[in-house]
Amino acid sequence: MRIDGKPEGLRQSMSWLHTWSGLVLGWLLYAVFFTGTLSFFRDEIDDWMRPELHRSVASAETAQLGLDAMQKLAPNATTWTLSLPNARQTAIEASWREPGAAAGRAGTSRATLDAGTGERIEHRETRGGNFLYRFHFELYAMPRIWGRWIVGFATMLMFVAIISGVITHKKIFTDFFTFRPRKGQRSWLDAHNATAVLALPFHILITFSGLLLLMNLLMPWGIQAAYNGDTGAYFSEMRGNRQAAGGGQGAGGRAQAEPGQHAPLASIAPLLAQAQQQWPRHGVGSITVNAPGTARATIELREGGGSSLVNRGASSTLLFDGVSGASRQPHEALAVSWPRATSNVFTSLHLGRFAEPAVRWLLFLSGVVGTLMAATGMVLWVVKRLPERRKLGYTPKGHRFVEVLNVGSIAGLSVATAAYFWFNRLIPVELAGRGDWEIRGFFTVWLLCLLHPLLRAPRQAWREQMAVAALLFALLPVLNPLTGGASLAQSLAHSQWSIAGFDLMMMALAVIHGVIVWWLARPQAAARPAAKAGVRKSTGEQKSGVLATRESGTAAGTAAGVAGASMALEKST
Amino acid sequence: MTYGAALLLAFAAFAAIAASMDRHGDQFGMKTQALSSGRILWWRAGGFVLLGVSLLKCLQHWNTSIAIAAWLGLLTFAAMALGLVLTYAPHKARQLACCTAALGALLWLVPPL
Amino acid sequence: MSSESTSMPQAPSLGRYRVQVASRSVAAIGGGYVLAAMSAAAGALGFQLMGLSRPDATLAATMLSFVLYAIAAMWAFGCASAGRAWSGIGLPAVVLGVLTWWLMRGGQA
Repeated sequence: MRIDGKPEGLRQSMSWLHTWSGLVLGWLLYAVFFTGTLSFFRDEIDDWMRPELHRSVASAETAQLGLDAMQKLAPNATTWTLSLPNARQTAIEASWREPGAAAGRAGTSRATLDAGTGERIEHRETRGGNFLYRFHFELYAMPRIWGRWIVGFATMLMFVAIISGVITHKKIFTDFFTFRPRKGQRSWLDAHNATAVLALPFHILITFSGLLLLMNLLMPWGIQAAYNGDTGAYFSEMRGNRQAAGGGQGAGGRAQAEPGQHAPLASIAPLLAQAQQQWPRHGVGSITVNAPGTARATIELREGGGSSLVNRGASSTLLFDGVSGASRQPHEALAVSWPRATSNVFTSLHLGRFAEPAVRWLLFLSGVVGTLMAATGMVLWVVKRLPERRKLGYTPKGHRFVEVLNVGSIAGLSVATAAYFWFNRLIPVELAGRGDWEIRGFFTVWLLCLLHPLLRAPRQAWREQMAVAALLFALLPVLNPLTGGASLAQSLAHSQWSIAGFDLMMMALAVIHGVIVWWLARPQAAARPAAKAGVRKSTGEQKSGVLATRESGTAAGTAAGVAGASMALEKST
Repeated sequence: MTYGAALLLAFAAFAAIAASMDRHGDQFGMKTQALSSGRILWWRAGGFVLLGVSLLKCLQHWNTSIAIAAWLGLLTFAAMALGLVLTYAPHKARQLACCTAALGALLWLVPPL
Repeated sequence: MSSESTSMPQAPSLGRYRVQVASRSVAAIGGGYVLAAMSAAAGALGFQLMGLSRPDATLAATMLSFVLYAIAAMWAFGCASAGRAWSGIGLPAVVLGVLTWWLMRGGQA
């Protein structure tokens, strides 16, 4: 609503809706974007948070070592699967099924093996990157279904906001490359628009695919109608076709090993060489052995990554006789129907289901842009109301509330995330339920960050929290070798990209937060009168344009600071 | 190389499109008001052709679905880079666009790694 | 986006305006969901008649229902009056509901 209570046109009612739903959902969407963006590196975070794994260095013998280890670990299993080390994983993740084990996940045993020795590694209990990943779509400490509904609802609103935004704001395209720095509200609006519009394909992709990933919960009515609500039947028909289409989840994975003649497994090296030749780009990602130790054994090699999103980034496979090592014909891939192809392309991008690291980085950086979009929007709400505040001569409670919550939810989430990684190393390994304590630590720190701005001027609160976050991030690569992990020098020397990548990412985060601190500390940022903000009539509610001078400039200073920092961030990445 | 070529070409493409826009034409040393609509159209068309060329490079390197996704992602950052150049170094925009176009074309010829 | 978009000839009172916005919001969120749900149901059955397999028809209809939801929500705020917002969303929802009912009955017969 307008301050002066004048009625508005319909376009404005949309912008009104954008402002208020954006405010209410903004904090949620910011957290979802932030943790979701980090989740693009879930595997890397998992590796880093289990420093016991850091001594695992892959070699040419890794596959053979892994198979030998399985021989001792699970000689009677019906099937072994070894996921080999790669750029995102430093150890071997092994899983197997004992004869007569329960179906599905429940019957699968798992172990982590040292890629250099084949020994089983016992690692600390932690939720690792999975906590951040789960949080981004089902939140925490509430029934999963609720969390998914809340996030799903916010996603739906964002999807509508994006599409309606494009349709109603035709000016978007004339302002396409425009950023006007140091102009208070105008700069914030530009930054908010730029992060929204320039990354529009990403925003559409990530919201629509987010809905698709939750669709059976949010929109079960198609299944209700076509299957009379028998969700199981829907899934099994779906899976039946997908398995054929995607090359399958381990062809013949259901084979039961019968007690029969014992036969030693063929040597893996020549098979790997053959596969390597066929897949020069991705190499071998995993090995599945069916009926190991019997005469009927088969060895299936799976490519380290797919080349198409249409089949969910499914990779191709090679099938060999497990005893002779002779090549066998693998199952042929079927064509994928168009609804499934569409759904697969969207969801596999959202999930980052492909090997191409560069595309993953693009998605990550786009996620950063989305995070900035949410943040700039929320700060914009405060900045926009500074003139009103000045006119009143005091700060309305609501404004103060938003201001405090902004600091705590934006800067505070950075501090809490950094603290989460610190707790991973500081909480004793022996402590029972230590994984939960890491998470409790995360939320405790976040809560403190939400309370801290109550005691400080907004500008100080921003600066202090950003400084703490920068410091915590910067010291993580130092903490890592001191608490049992591989130092950056070691991980780089051993090509352990998951570990090195995490340390480097923490340094980058430290720099970003440091730049923001620096911007906030610059005397000019506060002192420079923002002059005429040049807010034209078309930008909405604002009538007069003189904004953010020194005395009211706490938030505006922050405004200029984070805007500049966000641009600097884009520059640095 | 694919990334480099596609990104640089997209930057040059956006620069050509920006040059044809009212708001940014002056920054490229063109008085858009004085330009004939035909000339404006040429710049704009050239920009879109360059965007197409950059997409083509991605399609050569990746499977269609990944190529389009990667290309759209690259466009975001090319556009952001241009926005920053037009904000903080508008007088260099023109030379920079020429350089990226040339370098992009050069990288285009380098076979994918 | 204020200048040209004032489509209301006379300014209604603030109270009425708020009721309008609230009414449109309910039409968009609640009505839009019902419409989307109906389209998912009708499509899951209807697309099968057009040659898609059962899981594919269900998937396609559910995906499209989200797009329809977005369109409905935009309609709720873009059209001329709150009344029209409701009828524009309600009528298609009823039609799709009847269609679903008819298709489900046809499937059992």
